[in-house]
Amino acid sequence: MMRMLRGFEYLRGDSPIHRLDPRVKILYSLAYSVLCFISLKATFLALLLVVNIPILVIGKVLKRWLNMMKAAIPFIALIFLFNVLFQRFSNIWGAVAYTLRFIIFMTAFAVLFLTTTPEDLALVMVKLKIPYEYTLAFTMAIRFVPTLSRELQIIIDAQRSRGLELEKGNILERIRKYMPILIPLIVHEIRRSYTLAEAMESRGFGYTKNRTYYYEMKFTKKDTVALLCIMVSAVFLGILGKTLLWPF
Amino acid sequence: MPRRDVIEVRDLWYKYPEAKEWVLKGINLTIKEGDLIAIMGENGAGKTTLVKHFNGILKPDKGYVKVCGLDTREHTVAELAKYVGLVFQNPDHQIFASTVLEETMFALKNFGWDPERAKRRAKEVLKEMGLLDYINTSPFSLSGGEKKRLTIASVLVYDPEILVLDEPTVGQDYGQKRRLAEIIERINSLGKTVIVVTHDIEFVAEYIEHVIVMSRGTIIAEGEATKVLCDDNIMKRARLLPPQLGMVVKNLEDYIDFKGNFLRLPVFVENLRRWLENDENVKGI
Repeated sequence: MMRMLRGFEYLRGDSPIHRLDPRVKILYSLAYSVLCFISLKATFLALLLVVNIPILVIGKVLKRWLNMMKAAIPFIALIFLFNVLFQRFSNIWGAVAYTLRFIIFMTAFAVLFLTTTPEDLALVMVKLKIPYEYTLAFTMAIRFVPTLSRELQIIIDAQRSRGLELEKGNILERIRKYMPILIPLIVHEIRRSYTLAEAMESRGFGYTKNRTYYYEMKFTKKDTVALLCIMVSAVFLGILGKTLLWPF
Repeated sequence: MPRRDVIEVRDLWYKYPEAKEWVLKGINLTIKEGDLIAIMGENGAGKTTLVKHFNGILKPDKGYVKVCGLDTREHTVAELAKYVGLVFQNPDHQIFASTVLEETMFALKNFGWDPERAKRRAKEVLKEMGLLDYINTSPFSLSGGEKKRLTIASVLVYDPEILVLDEPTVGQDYGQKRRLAEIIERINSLGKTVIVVTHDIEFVAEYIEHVIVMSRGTIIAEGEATKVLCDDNIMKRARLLPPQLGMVVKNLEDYIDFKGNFLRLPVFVENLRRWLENDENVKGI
């Protein structure tokens, strides 16, 4: 779980995709999320996935995306299994399609999160007139993922040192065994959030109503081109998905 | 009777997954039964990483670690934890139970003790730690020093042969430190091996005689505190400030020949007194 979360963590990098305006990338993620819902044909969805791969390569995040997928294997397997068991499909392709839909959904947002700094995302949210407090909560949530995962590891180590064996017992026992790990984590994080709030307020957070920003987003020519490309290809793929007779 | 080796580390190399640099680079170390040792070094020297190998939380990438004869690569943390009690730096990383008594009994439950026996044993240890009055209170309401003692109690409760304390003095005031030192000395006097990981040089100077100094993943010195901690070269490499009494002794070494563990205040004063009592010496000033 933590590994999958860490998959979404932004690591500093530089590529044409990194330099794109975050709004263009958000549109891209949204376009693909919509596209993967217009058809339930496994072949069409596979095509959608393949189209994403060059973007990941240009953005130099293919390897991180693969790692993320590796961490998500349990979830992917679960989705596949549930669809095979509980859907009334005549064949297995329906289950494959649902699984692919999940993967594309994750991939579309991975492109956004792996190549955009949390600060950029926050700027977009501010532009969308979302109150700054909420924007801040969002960036902080992202910012604290690595801290949280490090702390989680320390707590697990500390409890294992006192003989806690997480890998033993049936499912219910195992869930119960997570209590000695979750309680210190939650208590610790609540305390931290209070400290953080105090530290921020003592530095004048919330003093001015109208914040100014160090970085301003600018829409460049490249962004316009990228935007057009995304729109044209999305419409094209959409028509393709609706009209063509996809075999499976 | 020769004391047996309780911890044996041979050519230990370790790096964290996904990291490029080695954190431990060829550590060799033998710790004998009943030793009281401080492992010192700057932040990031690899002290905590090393002690996490002692109960198998981390497994060597190269080399091996043997604890009471058990190779850590072949045993689970729960098995090794019975021999090595590791007390983590921050009590908030482990406290979870609703009462102090339950918190103390946690390890015993994991090791499958009978509840009545576990309760008796937990009370015994809490009494030793001066926490008996709190057995029914929430551990979250304890003070920093009490929390620290609780975490020590929660490990001592199953009577491990080796006790490892990671940075026990961080955030503790002088009184609490003295109490910690008393606890450490008492446990050690019972024949247990105690390993203290710290960069609190004054604490070590006052209470611990055997020191291991680490820097950048290697052990750069090991020996008596009076030698190691007063060696400028070693201290500089480890980015540590020598203990104050050590510096005083160094400045006086042309006049006075200090004997014994002069880093302890009573010994230092005794040395000084003996020197002053000799009229010849006083005349020379």
